[in-house]
Amino acid sequence: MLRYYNVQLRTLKSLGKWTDVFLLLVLLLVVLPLFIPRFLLADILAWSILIFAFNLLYGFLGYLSFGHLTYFAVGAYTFAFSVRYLHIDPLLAIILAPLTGAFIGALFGVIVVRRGDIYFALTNLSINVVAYYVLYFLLKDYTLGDQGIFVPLKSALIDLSLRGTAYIVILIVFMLVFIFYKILSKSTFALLLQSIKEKEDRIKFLGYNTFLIKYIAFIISTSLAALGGAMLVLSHAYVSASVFFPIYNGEIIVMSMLGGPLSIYGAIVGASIYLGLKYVIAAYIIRWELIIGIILLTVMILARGIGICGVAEKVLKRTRIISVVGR
Amino acid sequence: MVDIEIIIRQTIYGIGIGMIFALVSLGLSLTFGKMKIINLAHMLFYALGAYLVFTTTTLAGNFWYGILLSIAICFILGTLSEQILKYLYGKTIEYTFIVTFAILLIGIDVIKSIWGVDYKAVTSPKELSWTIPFLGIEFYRVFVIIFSAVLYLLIILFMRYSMLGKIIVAFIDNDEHLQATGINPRIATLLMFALGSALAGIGGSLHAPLYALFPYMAGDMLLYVFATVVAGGMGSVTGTLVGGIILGLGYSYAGYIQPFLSPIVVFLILFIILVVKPEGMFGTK
Repeated sequence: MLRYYNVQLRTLKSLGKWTDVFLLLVLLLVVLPLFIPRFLLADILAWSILIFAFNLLYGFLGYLSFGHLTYFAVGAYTFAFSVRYLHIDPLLAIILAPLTGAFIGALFGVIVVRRGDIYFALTNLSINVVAYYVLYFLLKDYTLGDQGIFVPLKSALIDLSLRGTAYIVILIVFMLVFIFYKILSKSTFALLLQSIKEKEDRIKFLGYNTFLIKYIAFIISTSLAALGGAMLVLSHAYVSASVFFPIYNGEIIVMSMLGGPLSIYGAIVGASIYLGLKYVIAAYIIRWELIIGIILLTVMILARGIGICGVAEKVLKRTRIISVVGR
Repeated sequence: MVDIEIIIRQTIYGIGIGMIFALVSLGLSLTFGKMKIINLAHMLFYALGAYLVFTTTTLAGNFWYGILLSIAICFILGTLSEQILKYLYGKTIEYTFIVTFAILLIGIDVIKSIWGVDYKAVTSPKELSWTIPFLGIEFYRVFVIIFSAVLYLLIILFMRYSMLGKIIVAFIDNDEHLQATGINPRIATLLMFALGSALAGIGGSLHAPLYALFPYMAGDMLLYVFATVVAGGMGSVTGTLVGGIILGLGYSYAGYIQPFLSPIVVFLILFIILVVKPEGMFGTK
């Protein structure tokens, strides 16, 4: 894809366009840990990497995956197994996780990305169901099913079992993913994905191999999701198969839609609102589903499918504050 | 060497469970095939049917009242749910997904507050709970097959010969032409939702004695129902039945070898069907 020179990327050359990255870093490193418990923040960051992966396919390409937890699980268990059973350094295992995710994505992508719509959603779902039961029962000796396994996070360089250090590592990985996603969203590649969403046949007429483009997007997405999974294990030092139950794919879609699938801030906003609400409400009320259901309903009806960030960007664009924030 | 009795038994189990899959999915298949609404809230009627049977068997000691009650209540609630869901016609699939997911969450919570969160068990009615000699199967399993087959036959006859059924078929085929003939298409959508919900209620109440009731049973069944709808082909009545039975057979044969293999085999079948024929077995492009 590199042979297409990126016109849009030039806009990122001015330093002002990177203020949001800096602001986000300061917010997550200094301000938010004062108010929000760190484990929740780490959780939010791990999930939002997954939502980035999901949004890449859903926001740009319009392909709704109902099984992205598979690739999340692949990353989580690659990380957990290689650290726990193979005694690989955790820092190395962080790199290993997205590679496995990319491998799995390349394997299934050939079949999965042939078509969009419900075909894409359901093939992913069936992969997820099979993967879940394989993890839960066939590999029970290693994953211990519901009970889960603890992962000893002793690295040669830094002690990752300290929560503070682990959080810093997660934050660094998250910022890298965010920067990657920001660049990607301005690239011709993203533009191609969006045009495939509009009309795939026309892109074919222009001489592009649309299958290859979708395939590459899928592989990027799965490796990001796997990276998110590794971060989830890093934040808990623990992983249990029950997190990857196929029904919870609904949560991914909810987070994505809450934040707004088209915005680059959508993932972090959606994940923090959903997980935060779940954490706060479940602490006070037993029937948290009712409250979350009602909130979802109102947000969906008010935001009309573009999410909170979508609405915010629309309002900001109208008042021209957006040029300061830099998107 | 596998015993012939075991094969027969697993086949009967499989067809029974497949029929229940088909009953619950039919409404979803029709609405999904035409209106493109992923109606997750549909699964609430399945759970409601099961819980109503639980209520009548514990309060009145009668299984049949439960089925009748679930037909009536699910029919009415299905009609009411259409009043909300009609705002979703023509919206994107993800939008309908989220809205119905929210309704599903609220509904699960209502079920929790009415019936409690613990597992409940329903016994099958006395007149059906005797075992068949030589095979060692409860007669209730056979009854499920007969009952659902009759119901399915009635549905097919209804679709083919009655005026209201013809309206539904015409609506699925071409709604604009239906409107041009002077028939309000809302009749068809209302009927589809009401009938589909009633069938899901019946499916739930038939499934109740074979299963443990808990508030999240709707979510549990959801995966299988989706598999059935897509495997059979959306909007196809026969497709749903055939898809349900094939998945049910896979479910029960695999379950005999290892209980946890059931979902794996069901979704492997679905995956293979989707790869070979992306629009489902009886689906049209």
